[in-house]
Amino acid sequence: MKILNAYIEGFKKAFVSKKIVTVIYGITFLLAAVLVATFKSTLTNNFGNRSELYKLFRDFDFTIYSDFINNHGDIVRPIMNQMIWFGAFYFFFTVFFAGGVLKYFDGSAIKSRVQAFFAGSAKFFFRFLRLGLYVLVIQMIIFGVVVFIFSKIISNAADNTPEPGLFTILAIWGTIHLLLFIFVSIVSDYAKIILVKEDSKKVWSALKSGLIFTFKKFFVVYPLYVLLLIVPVALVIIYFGFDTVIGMNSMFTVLVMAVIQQLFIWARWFSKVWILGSQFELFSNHLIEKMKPILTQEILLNENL
Amino acid sequence: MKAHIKKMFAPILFLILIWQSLNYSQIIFTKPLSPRIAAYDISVKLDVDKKIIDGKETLRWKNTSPDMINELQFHLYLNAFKNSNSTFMKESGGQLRGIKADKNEEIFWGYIDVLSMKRINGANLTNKIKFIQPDDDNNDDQTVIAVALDKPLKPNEEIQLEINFKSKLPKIFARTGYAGNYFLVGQWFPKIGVYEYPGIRYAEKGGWNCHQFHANSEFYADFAVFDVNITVPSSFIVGAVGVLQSKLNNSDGTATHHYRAEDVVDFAWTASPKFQVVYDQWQNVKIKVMLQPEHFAQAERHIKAVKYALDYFDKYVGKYPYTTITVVDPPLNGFGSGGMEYPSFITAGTLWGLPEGIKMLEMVTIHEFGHNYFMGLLASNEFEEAFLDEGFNQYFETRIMNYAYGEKSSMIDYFGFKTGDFEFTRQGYTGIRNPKVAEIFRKSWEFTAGGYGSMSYNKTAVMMKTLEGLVGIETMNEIMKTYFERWKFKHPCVKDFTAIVNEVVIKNHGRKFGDNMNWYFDQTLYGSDVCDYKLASISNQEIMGAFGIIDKEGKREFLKEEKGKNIISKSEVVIHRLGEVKLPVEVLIHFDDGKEILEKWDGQTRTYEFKYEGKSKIVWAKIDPNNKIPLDINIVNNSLTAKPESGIFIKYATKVLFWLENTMLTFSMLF
Repeated sequence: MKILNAYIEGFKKAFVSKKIVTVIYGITFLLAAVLVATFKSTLTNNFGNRSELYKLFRDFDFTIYSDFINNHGDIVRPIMNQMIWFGAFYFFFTVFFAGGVLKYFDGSAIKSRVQAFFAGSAKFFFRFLRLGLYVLVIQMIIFGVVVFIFSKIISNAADNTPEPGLFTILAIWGTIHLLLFIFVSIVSDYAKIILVKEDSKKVWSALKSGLIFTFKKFFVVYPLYVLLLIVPVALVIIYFGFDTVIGMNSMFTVLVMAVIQQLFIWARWFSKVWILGSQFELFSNHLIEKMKPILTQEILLNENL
Repeated sequence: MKAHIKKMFAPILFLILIWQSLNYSQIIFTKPLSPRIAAYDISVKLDVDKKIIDGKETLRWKNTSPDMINELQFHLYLNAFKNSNSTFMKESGGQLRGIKADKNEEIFWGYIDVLSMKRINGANLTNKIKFIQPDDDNNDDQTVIAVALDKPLKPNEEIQLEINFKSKLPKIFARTGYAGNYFLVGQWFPKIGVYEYPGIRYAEKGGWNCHQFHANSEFYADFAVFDVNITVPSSFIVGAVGVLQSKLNNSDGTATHHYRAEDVVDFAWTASPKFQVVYDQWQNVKIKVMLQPEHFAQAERHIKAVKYALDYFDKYVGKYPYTTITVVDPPLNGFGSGGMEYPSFITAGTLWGLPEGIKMLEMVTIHEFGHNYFMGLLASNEFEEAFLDEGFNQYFETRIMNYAYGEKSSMIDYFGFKTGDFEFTRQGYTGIRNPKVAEIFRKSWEFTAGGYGSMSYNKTAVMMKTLEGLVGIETMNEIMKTYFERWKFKHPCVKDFTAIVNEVVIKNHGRKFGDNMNWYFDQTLYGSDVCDYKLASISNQEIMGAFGIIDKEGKREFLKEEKGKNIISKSEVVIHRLGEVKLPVEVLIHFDDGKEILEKWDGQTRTYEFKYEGKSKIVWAKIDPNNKIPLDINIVNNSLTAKPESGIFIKYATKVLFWLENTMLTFSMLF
């Protein structure tokens, strides 16, 4: 029940926050659009008359694509590299937004919720940034350890294990890594919630509390997270379904797909906020439950007095 | 009485028959297909634990040259795996196709020791054996030996030698060896080199052509007959070059498999208790596929690929002369032995669960099968002219793949992503950092700056495809058929091939391409320059047409000078030749009234203009509209429109926008 309740309440929170989701999406779009505009004008200026490239409009053509990259890759390669940097830069935006979203959930006392969003973003940025870096380091350590262990297992098994066995080991490797990645992400999310709820600056302490909470409520928080992941995974499947059915081989279908793509990005952000909303709800309920005995004792004490 | 004698002699007759069947091979070809310069009779026993082969070889070799021969030369190629100082190890860095050698235990290394060598009923030559290094100054390389003869071998005289040898197989990372209890035994016995004399390839005087084992090449041998008895544990399943003659179970738990191969240049075999064998038939050719159990579901894919190859080569090159073809599927830990070729015996390579849309196993199977022709039957020298087998074979691989699985999807057709085998092959040349890194015509070990694969396989295949584009597919097929018919079971060199090209092209096209096609090979085979044409510009200028009394198409009319009327277009297309390679090329010019003109240009000058005057304007123009010149390294600059279009860039801008947003969101998942 707790899981389902948190799931539904999270959705409600995300739905209420759709303006904020749209703001975040808008910033994402603008950031990407700046780079893509450069990309498009570079291509149009240099290759606008090269009709061989028009074949790529109808379908993918390996020869044209590879000749383009071989001979003119230097024109677009810097833009591609910039995309990676944009991605890395966006990490900081995410850190910024996360504080705002959580403060927005916690901002019932504040008149303007949008104000709460930006105020929260600014207030928690450096705390979340530290948390983000710690989490990044932890993820990298886990990745290293898992890779080390499994590469040893595979190198020992390679000579005597048939291929399906090796693929099974690889699948187990991937699954364990994914489960650990999710676990750290969950701990990180609850650490964020604790930092906001307690308005604390003690990042390590929040991380520790998040870890304890995740362990204590493992069979609630973990299934909830997995349940919440169904939506983004389904979105990806739906998107590829659209892409296959509609394709992008006429101006009309390009425009239709462009709209679908942007809806997909918006929905991905919505689902991300949904995850935070559900976790926030779950943690808030936990705090209330924890308070109950104290409150009951206080009431009894007051009655006695 | 007669019956009594019959009864008495029956067991003896039976024993004689058994003995005969064990010791005498059934003749495969009643009339020899090749010169059969050598005949090997080999008996080997495999120690599966120690990975050692104990062998006894009887060699008969005939001096077909006009020379007195004082020494013999042999390949001892397993010594390439003896230590890090062999030429192969130095050249390859102890890896092949990305698979690294395991070096930490003694058992991982390989070698071959000649324990004794003597003339049958004659002198012992063991002490006359010395290692030589004909290709480099690496005194540590032990892959070739010279054996001084006690007395010279006269022309047409035959020598018979008895050789005892011990071969230690390496752990597989390159071509040969063992992986667990899987054995792919190639280059494993003392194999005599080729004695070349005037009339064979480039030889101006008699001499041995016996190269060391190199990272990139290993094949050049005379046609021979092999009788090989292979003794392995009886639980092992065996496959080999040639035809199985008999299998005899021994009392010690082993079995002896007797194989005979005629008119082949090499002998290899495989053994493993895990093989699952599937048989099929194409005409009179028995197809045997030896699969790993986990790949059994892919048996049909192997068979189909072999049949496509058999069919195609039969139709466009020549008849496959052998009666068997064995395809070996190596296990993952023996993957380094995959993608190898021996006469009538090839190794493929696949992975468990490999999707049908990824045609890796088909491509490898077809490629390796093709080596039966290019190297196996047309026994060119891989060391000195690797392109004659690898490149020609690559060209045919792409033709067969495209024929069998579709031109634009023969390599990958998976989740909407499609590419053809020829496209992939061409990219292996045009996509390298420096397509001018070397010329195709170069000894395989002299590609010191890299580019062996790109030149010998990829550029050669593209060069052949371009030749096909220039002379037409019918002429190309005739060239290949003539080349095969004239040079099968011999040692052709590229001059023999170009002579046929010149002959057939002149026959079919007259002097259309000049006195010969040498100009083509000088640029593409012996030169390293690239071909790149560019459509530089299109212009349409409106000008006033002529006025006054105009004679046109048999009619006379008077035209007044009227402003804004009688306007005609003066149009021009300018082409640049950016590369040094000069090939005749076609240019298609499309006008706004739908008219199209196919122009021809010899490509000799740096630039060329096509000029037109008339009512219509040029809309677009395209160099090589029928894709006859895939050697052109950049087809993006081959076309131009008078007015730009932005649709394609909107599409890709949309895609890039979407994937950039996704990349950003993916980074955000880290927090």
